[in-house]
Amino acid sequence: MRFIASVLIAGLLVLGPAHAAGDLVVITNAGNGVEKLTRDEVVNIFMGRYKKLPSGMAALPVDESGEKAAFYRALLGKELPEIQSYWARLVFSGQGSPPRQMDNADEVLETIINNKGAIGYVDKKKVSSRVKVLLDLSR
Amino acid sequence: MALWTARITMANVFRTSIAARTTAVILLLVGLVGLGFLAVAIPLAGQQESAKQQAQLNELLETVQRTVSIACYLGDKQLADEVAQGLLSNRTVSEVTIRVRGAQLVRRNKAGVTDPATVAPSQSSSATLVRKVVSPFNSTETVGEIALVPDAAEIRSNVLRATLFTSLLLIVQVGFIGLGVVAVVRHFVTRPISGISARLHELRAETGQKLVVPRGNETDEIGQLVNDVNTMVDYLVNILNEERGLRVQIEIEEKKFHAIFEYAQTGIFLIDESGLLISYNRAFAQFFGVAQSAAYKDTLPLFVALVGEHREAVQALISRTISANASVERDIKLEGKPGTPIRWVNVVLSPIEDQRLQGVVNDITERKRAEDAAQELAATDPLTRLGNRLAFERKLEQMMDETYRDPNHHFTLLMIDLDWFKQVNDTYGHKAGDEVLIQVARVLEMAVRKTDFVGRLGGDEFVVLLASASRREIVELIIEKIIHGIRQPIAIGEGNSAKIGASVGAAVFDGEAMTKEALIRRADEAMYSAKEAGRNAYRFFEGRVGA
Repeated sequence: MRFIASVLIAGLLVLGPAHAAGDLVVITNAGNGVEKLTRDEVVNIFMGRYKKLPSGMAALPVDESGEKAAFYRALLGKELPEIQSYWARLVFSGQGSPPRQMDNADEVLETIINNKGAIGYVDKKKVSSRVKVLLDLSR
Repeated sequence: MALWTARITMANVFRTSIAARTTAVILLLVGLVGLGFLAVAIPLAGQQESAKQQAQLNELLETVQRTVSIACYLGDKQLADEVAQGLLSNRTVSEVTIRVRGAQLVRRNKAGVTDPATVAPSQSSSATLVRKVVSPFNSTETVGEIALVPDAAEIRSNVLRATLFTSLLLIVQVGFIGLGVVAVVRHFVTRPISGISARLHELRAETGQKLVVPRGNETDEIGQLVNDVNTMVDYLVNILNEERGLRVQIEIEEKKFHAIFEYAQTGIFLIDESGLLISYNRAFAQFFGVAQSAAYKDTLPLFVALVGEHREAVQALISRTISANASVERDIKLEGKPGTPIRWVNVVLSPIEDQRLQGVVNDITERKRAEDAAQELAATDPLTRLGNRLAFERKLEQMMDETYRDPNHHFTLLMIDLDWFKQVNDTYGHKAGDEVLIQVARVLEMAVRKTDFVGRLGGDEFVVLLASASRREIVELIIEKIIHGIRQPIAIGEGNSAKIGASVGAAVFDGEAMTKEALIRRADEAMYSAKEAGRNAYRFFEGRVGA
């Protein structure tokens, strides 16, 4: 119930005027050989469980501060503080580190184009042919 | 030794103290109930404690759930180890194992050993708590499991502590119940009872004192007891008073009788059959000259020892009383001590019960004296104060009896007839004649001894009984003395004197069978033959050959 409630609240927020809900897509470098990822695979990569992409390439997930809250809400149904708390636990163990932080969508696109293992998320409208869509979160 | 003494003291306390006994019994009962309760409570407490420990462990696991989830999700050994250490900091946890997809991620136990190779496999698998760990992001995905082995020893000691606490509470409870019972029993039972006991001890029931019901016990059993005691005391005091009254009455009666006994002029005494005095009164003591106090019974004399020469007679009197079983009496002459007058007493002995004899002694001296006087008067010649015919015959019989008893005891009877007395009488008158007779009597009395008898039979006829003068020469001497004495002139007043003579006849009695009259006749015959031979002569009766 609680989960459903939070999803509903999240949905209401997403439906706000600033961002249209469900228009984020997970993208990666076009030339790294990975065609599709499941939602779980995306979670595992972004939450530090998988260090590598299915193709064997080292994964480099990146966050974009503008879309970050919407992304984690859409992917995990969790708010940012929860995500931050998750990473905080792992700071001392040194086992993993959160995705690299980008300031805007252009910087994300540039990083993905320049790094074969990079994986990130942008608004559906900003997708170009230089990047490959792995998962559409709006669906 | 001290322990032994203490045990004896305890035993005494149990025997003598209701409070102690009651307390002991109640403590025993409470103790037994407590033990039963403990027998149930200890396992129950153990179970509860175990359940509590289990719940605690579950809560612990709940607390670390999220971190473990992350650690498993990431396979983060460091994080998992932190969790394990955190869990082990709880004392009831002895070992923690975290596995990820079947492979052990971390294993840590209390000893701090983390190397899986050296850690012995979990032995108490039944107690081990195992939980699935799900992914923090997908609750349907199991990412590992956490196994937690509780510290059995620690839990046991916790259970034990809980049990001990319960036991301690119970012991304290039993102790307080015991003390309470002691206090209650002392306050409501022992104290009133010992109070009553102490008062009863000091109670002077005869003065009408009563027990007081202790306050608060008016209507209960103790009050009832006190009332019953008071009723009984009343009853006993009444009986005592009645008894005392009766005793006083009896004492008065006894005193009365004792006074009668003690101050009677009649001597009263008790003897046993052997003649030993048992008791006697004052008059008896005076009669027989014994000590007045009859207190020293062992010094009391035989009755027969008090009567002097009558000892055998009195002994016979006692025997006769016993054999006849009837009252017997006898007159006894008491010589008394030298200088005291002779007394006559009449003793009556009567048999009474218990083989005793009662004696009554009456002074009959006066009666005896009167009797003797009368007798003497009857046997005395009033003119000469000599014995008369009656006295003479009595004495003669007595002396003849004595001679019959003892033939050697001869005596001599003298018949004396005065010569010329008739002439004196005729010439000078009766008065002069009487004077002559008196003088003759004095002469006769002077001539004989005291044991001899001199009498006047009438007119001018005199007799003499010479008791022991059996030898003829002596008898003749006495006769001559008599004749000589009588021949002397006798003054008869107015300057005149008379001259008379005497003829004497003597008869010796030597035990020959004869009557006194016969003896007198013999002396008469001798006297007449003396008269025939001329005046102032004497003759012996010679009728018998060899006399």
